[in-house]
Amino acid sequence: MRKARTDSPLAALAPAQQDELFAVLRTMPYGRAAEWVLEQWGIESSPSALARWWKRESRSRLRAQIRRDIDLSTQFDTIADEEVLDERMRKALKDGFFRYVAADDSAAALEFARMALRANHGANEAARITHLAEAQRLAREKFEAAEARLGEIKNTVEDAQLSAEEREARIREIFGL
Amino acid sequence: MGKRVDAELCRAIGTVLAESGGRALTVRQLAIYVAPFVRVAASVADCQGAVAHLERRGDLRRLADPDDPELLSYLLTPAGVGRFGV
Repeated sequence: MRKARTDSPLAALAPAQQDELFAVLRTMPYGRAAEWVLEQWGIESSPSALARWWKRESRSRLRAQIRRDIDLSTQFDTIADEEVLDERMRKALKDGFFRYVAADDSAAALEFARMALRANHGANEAARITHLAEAQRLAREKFEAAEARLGEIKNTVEDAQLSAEEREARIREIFGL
Repeated sequence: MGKRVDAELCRAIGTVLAESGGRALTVRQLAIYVAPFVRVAASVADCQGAVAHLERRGDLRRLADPDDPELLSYLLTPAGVGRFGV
């Protein structure tokens, strides 16, 4: 792409004028747009200068928008990765959020994210409770096994019929040594 | 002969994919993105034509979602990255 000329009158447009010209050029042919620029702002331009301006401006605006949206989406993706357990649900949430952001509807995107994460919170809580119950069950099993081993050791130690070697062998067996 | 593919539309799609940070995008998402930044028609069908052209040229690669093989998305190939730059 040709380097932008800093002495071009189009380079000196105020941000509001740039927005207006960008909107005009979306639909108006360059020749008519050159007349429009002259009428509105008294700026002499040409169809080719306007075409170059449009090309450069649309590319930089598109880049800025996608960078902003990807950044927003990446932030949401991080939250979804941390909060959502189910892989398909996580993917659906990320796609949904990105769709709203890409459509430039940030209010809808935030509302969607809030609702989705709130709904997910319930599922997460249920999964957390199941996980806790499972951990408790395992701890109880471990405790009961330890108690049983202790009982067997006590019986072995108190068994007067066993010789010292037999007792040691039995204790080793109980501990799995 | 196929329908003429607009260079501006192809360039805009390439820019979006180049800037997307490796995130695969669907044609619908591409159409939503580029529409406000091009002076030509950029419906989903128009973008589909441009995407097919870029795919034939080797600039982008089509991916299928393993969970939903019907859902296709697109990423730039190294050739496409070289062409559209970041």
